[in-house]
Amino acid sequence: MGFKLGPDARKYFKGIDKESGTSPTGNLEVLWDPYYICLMVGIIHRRATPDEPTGQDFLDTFPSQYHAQHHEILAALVSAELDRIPIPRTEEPQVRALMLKLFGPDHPTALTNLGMSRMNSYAQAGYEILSDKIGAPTDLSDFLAEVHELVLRQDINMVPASTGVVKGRRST
Amino acid sequence: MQLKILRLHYKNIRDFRDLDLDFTKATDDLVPNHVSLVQMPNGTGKTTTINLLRRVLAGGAFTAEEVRSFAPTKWSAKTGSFGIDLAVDTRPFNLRIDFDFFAGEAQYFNSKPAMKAGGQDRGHYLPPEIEPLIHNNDRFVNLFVFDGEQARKLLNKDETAADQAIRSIFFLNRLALEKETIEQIRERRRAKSKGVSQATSLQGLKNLQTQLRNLKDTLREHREHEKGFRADVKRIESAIKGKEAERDALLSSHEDITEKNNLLRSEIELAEKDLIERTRLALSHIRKPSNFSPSMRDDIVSLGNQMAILKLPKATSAEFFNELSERKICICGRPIGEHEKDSIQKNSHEFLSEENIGILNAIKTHVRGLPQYEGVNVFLEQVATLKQKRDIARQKRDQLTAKLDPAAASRAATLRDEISSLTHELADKNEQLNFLTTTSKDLGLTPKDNIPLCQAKILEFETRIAEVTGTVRFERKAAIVEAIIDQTIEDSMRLLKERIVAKTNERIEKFLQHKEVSIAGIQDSIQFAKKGGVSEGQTLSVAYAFLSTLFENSPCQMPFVVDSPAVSIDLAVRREVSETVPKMFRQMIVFIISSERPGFMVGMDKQKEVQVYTVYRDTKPGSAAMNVSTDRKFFDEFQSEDDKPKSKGAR
Repeated sequence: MGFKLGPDARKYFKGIDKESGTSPTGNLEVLWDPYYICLMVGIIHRRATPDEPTGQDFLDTFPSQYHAQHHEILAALVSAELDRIPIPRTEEPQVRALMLKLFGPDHPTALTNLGMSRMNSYAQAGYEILSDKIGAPTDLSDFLAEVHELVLRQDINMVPASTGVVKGRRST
Repeated sequence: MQLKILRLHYKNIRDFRDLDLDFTKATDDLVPNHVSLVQMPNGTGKTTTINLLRRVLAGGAFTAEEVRSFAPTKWSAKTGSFGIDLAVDTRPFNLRIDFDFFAGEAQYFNSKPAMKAGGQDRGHYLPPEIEPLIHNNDRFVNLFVFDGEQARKLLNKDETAADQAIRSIFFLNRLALEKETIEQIRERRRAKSKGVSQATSLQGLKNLQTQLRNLKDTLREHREHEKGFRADVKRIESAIKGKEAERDALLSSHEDITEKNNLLRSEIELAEKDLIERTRLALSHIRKPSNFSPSMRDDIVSLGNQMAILKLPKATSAEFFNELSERKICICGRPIGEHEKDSIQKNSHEFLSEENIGILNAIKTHVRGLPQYEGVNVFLEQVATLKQKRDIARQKRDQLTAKLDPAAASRAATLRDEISSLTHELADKNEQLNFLTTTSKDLGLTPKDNIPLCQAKILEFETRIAEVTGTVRFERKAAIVEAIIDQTIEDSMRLLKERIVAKTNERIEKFLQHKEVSIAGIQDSIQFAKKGGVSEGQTLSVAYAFLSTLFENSPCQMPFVVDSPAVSIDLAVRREVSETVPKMFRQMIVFIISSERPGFMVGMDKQKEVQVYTVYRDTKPGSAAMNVSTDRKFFDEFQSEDDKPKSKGAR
């Protein structure tokens, strides 16, 4: 099992991706970049699709550009899942049980199949938010600025998600 | 080539405590008598001997019940054995079955012709010349170790014994086995080409070839498109260069404009370069989740702090408790019984494994030390400034053209628009060229729009077709060989049956005084020409005639062992049979009962080499075992009360 984004998401990033991008401010450098941006947007919005996206895995481990922040990404996933389920952060047995479900030593990513599946669901929901709010990007710098604005707006609003399985953000 | 039976050895088999029957001439222990006549009363082991002979030759397995049926009943014995000394021409060998009556097990032993005297190997063995004919071939063995039941099978229309006998003797059954070999090869090929098995038919092959042709057409079109795109790219790049050169030339007609134009161009190029670099730094910055948004950073740090409060992960691992559960005494000094062990193991699942503890510790350590949120704003503001700088420089350059005369200015504006349009067109062509030639698997492309994928698909189809073509060719050849085998067997059987019927009828005429019995043909069994009832004697005589005809044509001359050959034949016919039948075989071993002697011995006495044996029960007190006598007088006078006359002419 590996990291997965649906075919529509791939088309969405065509104008700025590593392979076919023609952005005048440069293109995304790593195949995992679009996945990561979608993942972060999905996690910040506490939104995950009910099902995993279909299609082939395009990477099965974290690329070298993301090795240093590997544990931050795992922490972000746990944080989102604690809110999504929801699990009170003071309940040690439940927090521990969730971590046991998401993390395992058998895969180089330290994610279990369920953990990987949850990542993919957040990334796919993130893509759906991006494609809804921002047109298919053709200029990388413009896109990064728009994403930045979108997540800051979300930080301010902190509104519960209107669709998907997410229950809404933690209020503290 | 001749197979000879030289001796039989019994040890603790039914009523035989330790008995040898030696069928060889006194002058040569490798040459058997032409006829060995063994007189044994009913119920003393005749049927046992016939059955053991068949089993020892064909080499079949025994059930525990069968093994125990050979155990002596009149004395106690844990083990027993039945052995046979044989020779193929002048090469002797032997076979022996050892019985363990207690365990109900039988074990074959053999000595091969090349072995030194006394050497024995475990297992069944037959010399290669006769092995294909006899080993595991009960039907064939039953033809030369013969009795009344086999005779009836040859003539019973519901049996296939006659047809099978011809197939065995003339090796046509071996030929039929070749079809099984072909089928095995077919199965192996199918297993090997798993996945293309659906396409093993000619139609399947044609479908694959059509798909391959279509793919090759697609690749040809791709190549033409690629060529076109590359030419377009070259043409557009050249056009852009030309137009830029024309615009530069237009501006260079005014020296001051040229200098300013060059400066602005450098400024634009520098700004564009910086833009790419700053954007790259912005991207690199947000690759850290804690830099993606303030709330994300707070979430992560908060999780780390909460883990510390919850003391997650606990220092004690599941492994610790599993190890503890295996100890006899707990670390608190209390004993650990089965109940405690189960509880500890069950509850250990609530603890993290050492590896999971490692992961959680790494997360906690990493996220607790995160610096304050550093927004990407710094980079984005730099990007915005650079874009502004670039756009101003572009505007200034456009304004330079205003200093030109109206015609030149108009031309410069046209050139600017054309360059812009061509630049977009170039980007578009490059994109199409990239889709056509990229080896990336991330773009959701198919062989219909990508050259490397199309080439890979062609290779896949070519491989499949190569496999299928091989299979189809094999199927064609196999079908031809199978048809040849079927035709050969059919033609051979027809010719052989015609010849055997004719020769058998000649012999029947010799055996039977009246000529009304003859055979019309051989289907599965022998078919009588005479309609209505046929006596048992006639059945037996026809069977001998048929068998002797068969063996006459066999590549290996077999000994003929027969049980009670005359018991159901008229006295007159007995004389004929006993006079004629031995002439058909090089070695004949005949088991008879005393009531068969009348008439039968008249014919036998005309044979050149006849050795008689009388196997009788020892009447000494305390001994119930069988003995053997080779005395002719004893043989002629021996009369067992057990042997009741069965033929109408017998006395």
